[in-house]
Amino acid sequence: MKVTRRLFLKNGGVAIASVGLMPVVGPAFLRRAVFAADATAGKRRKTLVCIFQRGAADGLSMVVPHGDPDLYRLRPALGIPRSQALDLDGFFGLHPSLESFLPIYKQGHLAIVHACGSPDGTRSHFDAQDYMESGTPGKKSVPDGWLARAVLACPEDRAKMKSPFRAVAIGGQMPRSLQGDAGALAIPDLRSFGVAEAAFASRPARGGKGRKGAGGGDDGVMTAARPVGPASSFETLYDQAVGDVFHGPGRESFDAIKMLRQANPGGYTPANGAQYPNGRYGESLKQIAQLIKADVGLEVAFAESGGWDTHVNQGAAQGQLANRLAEFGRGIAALYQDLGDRMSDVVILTMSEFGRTARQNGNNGTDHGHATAFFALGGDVRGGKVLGQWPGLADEQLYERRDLALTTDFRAVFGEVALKHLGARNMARVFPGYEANASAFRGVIKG
Amino acid sequence: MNGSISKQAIGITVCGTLFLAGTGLALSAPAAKKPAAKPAAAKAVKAAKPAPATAGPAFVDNTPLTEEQKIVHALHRLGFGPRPGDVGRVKALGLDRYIALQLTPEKIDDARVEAKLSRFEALNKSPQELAQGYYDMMRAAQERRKRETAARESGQAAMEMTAEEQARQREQMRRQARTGVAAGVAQLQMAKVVRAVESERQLQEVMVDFWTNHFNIDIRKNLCRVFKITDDRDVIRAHTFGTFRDLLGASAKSPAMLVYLDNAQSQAPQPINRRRPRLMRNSANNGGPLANAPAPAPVRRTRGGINENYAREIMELHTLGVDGGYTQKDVQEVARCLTGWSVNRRTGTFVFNRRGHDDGEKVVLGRRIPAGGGIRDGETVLDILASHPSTARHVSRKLCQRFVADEPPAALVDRCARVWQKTGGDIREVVRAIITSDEFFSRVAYRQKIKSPFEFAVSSVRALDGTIELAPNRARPAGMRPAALRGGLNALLVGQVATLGEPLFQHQAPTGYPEDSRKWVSSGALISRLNFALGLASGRVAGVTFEPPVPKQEGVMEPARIINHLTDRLLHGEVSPATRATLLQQAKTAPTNAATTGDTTTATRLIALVLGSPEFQRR
Repeated sequence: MKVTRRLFLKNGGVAIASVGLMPVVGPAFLRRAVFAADATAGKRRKTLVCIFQRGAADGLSMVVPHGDPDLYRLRPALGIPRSQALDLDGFFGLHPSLESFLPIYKQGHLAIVHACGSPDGTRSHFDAQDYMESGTPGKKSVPDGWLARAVLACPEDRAKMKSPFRAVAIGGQMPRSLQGDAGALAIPDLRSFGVAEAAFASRPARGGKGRKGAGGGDDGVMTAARPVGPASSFETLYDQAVGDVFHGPGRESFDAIKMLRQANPGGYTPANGAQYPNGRYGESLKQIAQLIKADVGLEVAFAESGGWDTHVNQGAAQGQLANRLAEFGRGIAALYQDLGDRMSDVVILTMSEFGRTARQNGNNGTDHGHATAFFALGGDVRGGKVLGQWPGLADEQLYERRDLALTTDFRAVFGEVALKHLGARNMARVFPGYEANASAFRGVIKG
Repeated sequence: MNGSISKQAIGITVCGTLFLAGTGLALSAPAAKKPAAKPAAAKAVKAAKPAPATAGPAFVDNTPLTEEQKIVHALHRLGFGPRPGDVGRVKALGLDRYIALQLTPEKIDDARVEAKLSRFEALNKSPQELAQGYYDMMRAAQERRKRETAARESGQAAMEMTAEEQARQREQMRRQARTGVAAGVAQLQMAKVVRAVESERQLQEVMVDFWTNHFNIDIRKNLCRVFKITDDRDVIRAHTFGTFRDLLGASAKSPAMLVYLDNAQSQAPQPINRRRPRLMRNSANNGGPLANAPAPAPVRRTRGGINENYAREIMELHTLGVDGGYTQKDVQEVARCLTGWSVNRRTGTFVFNRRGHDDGEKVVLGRRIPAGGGIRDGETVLDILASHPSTARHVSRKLCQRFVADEPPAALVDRCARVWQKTGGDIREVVRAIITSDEFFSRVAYRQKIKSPFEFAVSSVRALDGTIELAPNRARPAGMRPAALRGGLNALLVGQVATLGEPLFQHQAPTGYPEDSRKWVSSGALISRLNFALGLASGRVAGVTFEPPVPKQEGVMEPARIINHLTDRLLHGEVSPATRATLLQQAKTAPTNAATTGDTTTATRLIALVLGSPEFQRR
């Protein structure tokens, strides 16, 4: 068997020399080569970062309707006092823990859609998350997620450029939103993405003639004393399995590993003094920033944030929820800051399965409710506004006389972002049974 | 709820993360010491059997399978892949007799596995015990939160507990870890793995896996955590080879299914202000920590009665199929027929709540169901659905997909549907028709299915003749501290299967994991498979023990001989020349001093390469 040099074609005529796991190909070349189609088309790749607040985040505390007197009647202990809310427009104010959002809002790059959520009435976290992620409230048997379908609904010429990092979830398991045929990756940690050759690195095999072929190349570069790890043998195995269904995915996998290695996620320093909060949530946003900056073709990223199910001792301007919001806001602000000018092509969208009861409960907390507030940030966002209609908090205005009523279907927001920011087509496929069109949109995205 | 909502926050913090396996292997136990292969000059070796083209373009190979290929094929499809020696055993028994035996699992002695499983106490608990365990867990979580709140309000950090309190809490957590809800879930998952790896009743396990997906339930939805245990035992396993009507009926009355697809709370609109019996209610059953607490909210309006979820899915997924000829009107009528089919919260068993039943007349698929039928309405619906020709076709096709091909031959599906109709939906006879058919033993079917992650992981362990060792007197694998178990099952086979993309009993949508095996092919999935192959081969999957399949020989060993040995044992000779060459190359790179240093990496690498090869992904 003789493998000399492997040249393969990608994206219609762009050749990349790929030699085992050696960093022979400079990152700049690699990027140019893989994404030449973008450059030649004069198009910049748009990215959507979705952040799911699992556990049902309290919209009435995140974006406080301090101008609605019913708020303080319903929540004598939990309502954020008008004096402490960060006023946005005389009626709404941000929770003081979200102060990092205020300058972005004032620059016009942050929009809020209030009283937004799922029209389905379920108060089960499980079902409501399921519906929001499948994008089909009330219908359970849809096997794939809305984000996966949105990626697939993006124009053909882009779909052809198969970046392995087109859709990425930071986490151990694929979220429902990205399940499906979009080829999404679930990555627990970029730094350990790859084939675990480290297990064998302690005992490098000898170099020399026996290595020819095993590493996928013998063009003279691989003479350095370097283990011929199983990873490179795996690469050879799949490279040669022409005709096998895993041949393509194999090539993509090893390309992805190499691309990521070039990006060197271990040695990343956030730009512009951005400081991500410690912990999994902050780390996942930092890794998304790395992927965006590495230009590996990321179009859709997914991260999650937990701890929103504040049944007991929720707190007001300070306390449990305030702490959660501080981390949540600091993470997003850090991502915004870190990405700098790139935010002109990025939209950050937050979501939560439902809101919480308008009234505080007997444990100084709130129970499962209905509508909540979603945030959208980015250059394409028509910001500086609280969008949607305010349904009011009088008893008869509440959903089932207990929860903030819904005035914006979440699909109107998701749909607008998918269509106008990502450039998805065929919205009927993304949200079957729902008319995601201009009449439903709230004007979250410019243009 | 406090800040530990994990990936799929469902409202339980106590042990909510325990079975949500996440990241990849993070262990570094050294591989067992084994004499390693020594490289030697390559000599001409007897060529391995000519490998049939894995995916030859444009021509169809119609050559009949050899006797050995038939046996290997049967072991891959009727079970989770051959163990070393299995081919010889089936040959000695006769393939026909092997198939007949697998179709009657009750005749197969499986005492060794049963003994092992007796450790998993949760699997033998009554529905009432299981339900009580769930309520206890919720109450404990709520009390803990209250204590924390009280501590915070009195200005005292929750940390500052007396030694006595700390000891009590530790004991509580220990007990919870061993007997609690999370332990039950872990036992259910581990039992599935142990059975698939070790049971002699392989076809039964394949069929259980099939029905588990067909009647999918996600254990992350509140009481499904505990009720799936009885569903697995009393619904799926009790009716694996029975009639479809019995299986469907058991599933329709399974508390786990009633909760998962919301029928437990589906009730005809009630007269106002009439106190309803203690049944599942949406608002009281939303998974929040207060689900079982006195209602704090002053307003609890009666919620709008009928829930159509189960009615829709029983037709779309469980019986007729999406194009099976029903309308939205049928969905509504079936939902009406099933109103009042609910769960007794105390006993954890099915109950028919007559007062919640819509007793008016209904019409289902053109058939009139007169008023006043009570529970018989639902039974009639199940009769209609189970005996419907669309059901015979839909389920037969799925079975053919599982056993034969992703695009099963239409003629075979037709034949199975006829067997189904003729035998009144006798599952055993339908499966027999499939696995004794010419289509089953055809070249078109041979090695054309991609292993699901579960099949891949289990077949890997079986190919290495591995077993799952449990720690002495404990319901957990050997080498696994309970603390580590609490931290996640990543290091276990269960966790590895999750990392590979098929977390057990955790498919969120009621479709279950796909029978079309092409759905498992993706680049991310492949990387996970390669890592699993490396982790397993190097002994980093806790509880799995095996002897590395290298030839027992002292001194120098020829690479070609090692490769032959490995590919014969693990791939049954089905190896492409390219794969073989790569393996040979890897074998030759072994350090020459392996014998003196006790180096095991070469054998480990080779095993990992074989398990991670394109050939091993097929069955």
